[in-house]
Amino acid sequence: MQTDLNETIRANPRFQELVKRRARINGALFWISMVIYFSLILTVAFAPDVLRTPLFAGGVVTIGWPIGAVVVIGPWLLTLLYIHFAKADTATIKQIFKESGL
Amino acid sequence: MTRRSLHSALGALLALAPTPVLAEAIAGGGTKQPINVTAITIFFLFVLATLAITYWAAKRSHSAADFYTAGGGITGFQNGLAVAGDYMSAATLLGITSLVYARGYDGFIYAIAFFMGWPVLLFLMAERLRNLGRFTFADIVSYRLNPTSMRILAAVGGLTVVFFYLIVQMVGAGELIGLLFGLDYNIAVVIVGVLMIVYVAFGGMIATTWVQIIKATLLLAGGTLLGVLAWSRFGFSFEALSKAAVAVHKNGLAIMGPGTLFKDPVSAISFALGATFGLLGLPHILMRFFTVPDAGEARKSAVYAAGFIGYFFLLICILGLGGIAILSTDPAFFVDGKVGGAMIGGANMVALHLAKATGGDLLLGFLSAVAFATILAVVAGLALAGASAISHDLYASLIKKGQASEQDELRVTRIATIVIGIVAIGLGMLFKGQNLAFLVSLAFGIAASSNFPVLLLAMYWKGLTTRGALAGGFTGLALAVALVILSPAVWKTVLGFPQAIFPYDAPALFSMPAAFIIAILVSKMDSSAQAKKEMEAFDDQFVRAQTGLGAAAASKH
Repeated sequence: MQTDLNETIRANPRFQELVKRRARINGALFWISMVIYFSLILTVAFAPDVLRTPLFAGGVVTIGWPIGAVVVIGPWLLTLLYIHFAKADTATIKQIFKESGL
Repeated sequence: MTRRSLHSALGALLALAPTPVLAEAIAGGGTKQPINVTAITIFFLFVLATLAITYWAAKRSHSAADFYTAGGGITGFQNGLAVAGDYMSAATLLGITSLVYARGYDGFIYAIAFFMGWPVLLFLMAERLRNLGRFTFADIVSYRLNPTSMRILAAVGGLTVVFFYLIVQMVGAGELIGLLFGLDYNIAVVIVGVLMIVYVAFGGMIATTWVQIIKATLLLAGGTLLGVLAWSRFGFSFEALSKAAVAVHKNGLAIMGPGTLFKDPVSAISFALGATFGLLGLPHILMRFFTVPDAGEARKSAVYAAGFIGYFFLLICILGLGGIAILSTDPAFFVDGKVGGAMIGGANMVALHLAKATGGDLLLGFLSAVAFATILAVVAGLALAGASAISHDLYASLIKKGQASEQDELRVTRIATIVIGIVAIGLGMLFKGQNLAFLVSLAFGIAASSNFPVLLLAMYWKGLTTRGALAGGFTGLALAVALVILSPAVWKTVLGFPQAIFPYDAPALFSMPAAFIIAILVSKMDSSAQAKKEMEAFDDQFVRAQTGLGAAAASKH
């Protein structure tokens, strides 16, 4: 019974579309975060001088600080984007359940 | 900072837990503070409030679901606060502030590394955790794989992480509380252990959640107030604050950029991987995602938690730089009034001295109480995760083969909590004054190399079989333990050998891929009938992971 229902859901094109969409979006968000994060870590490891560049002439603050803040705030903004996309998925899932007689 | 104390400070941050820096601080001439009346009053109020909540929660905790997951009735916002509370320990406030104080930008990089796991947790796991899990993360890995072996693996991995974390917290608690409240070390450890037992054994997840929520709120409020007071002295200008800090720091302008945080690129990458993916294998964090009613609230929890933690870590940079600018020239905060010498109470006291400097005894008392409350809450979360692994995974599922009555299972949880509490008190006393930075590397290393790979593959990869999971999980565990023992932190610092066999402190770059590779290879070679069945069962698990079909619903209170 449970397996039949699962098969019905799996066969639903909406479900297949949902799975692909999620894999695409979540994968993209994950890899973007990793690229942002490891760009900083690798810069610290291989080219620390880049981060010591002053933000503006005569100032003591380096570009490392705003870049670090971006590495925190950027991925957090991506989490908001995730929520945005996930809302549509929740609606799709409801629709799939309805079509499967739930 | 000397090399050794720096090493400990970095280790402390690895766990976001108070560690040996405190021990060394005390050994290095820190003195016990006089009894702080404000701190004790505020802390007493916190304890009263949390005990009242525990009493209220105890009356509502009837079923196993109530006990382990608060009946799944916690909202995304509440859980976001609670899970942030589980993660931000006293050392997040004290340790990272002190690291920024000592090393400037390097401290910032550390904070960033411990933030990054949160977005990743959301993107890879948060919703699937809720859809597939029930009480412990072992529920997920044993969903289609052999429950007996998978529960053993998950319980070993989970309990090891919990106990290493607990020891570090208990030792840190004894030392910190001794400093802040003028209490004896052993008394402090006993207070923490007993309160933890009371919260968890009587109030279960409902009480633990509310303790976390209150503590997280206090921590965020106290930190914000401190940040505003310190930064206001510089007209809320980051440039002015930095200029003042650079002017008085012994390293001058160097604190504005990366220093000598990592010995080499391999250390940097290994540390960054462990800090990020270790989060995805911490049982007490994963467990919190079962307390919300559905996947929608699970993802909200992760977004809120990431927001609170990211905010707090950025705030800590202001505190650290503010500490440099405000404290380093004030003889009142140094032993014998020697500016630039040892800080009174030890290196980890920056945030607290800053509170005194900017808000007087009242703010100092408040922040001290918050630090104590923070330790209590983190320890309670760990104890609950440990007790669940014992009662749900080992007792109910393994020994009783799922035939234990709910009453029996709950009784075992309570006994397990009391035993964990007593063991934690004992270990706390036993390890007094020890350098425990390596335990933290171990906890994160095992989480990233055993719990995380198995959990991720179980969720995403159809081809994973029980044999593959066991081989990969135990390889990751053994390798993480072995590499940490052979690392400079243990081989040189603890065991006293002249040269470490494995040159890096963080094992994740090696042990995590090893776990994945072994799990995949062994699964691929596994042609047993059992393996075939397990792969077939993935399709139904996949529907549930994606849609939440059949996931345990929230119980109504």
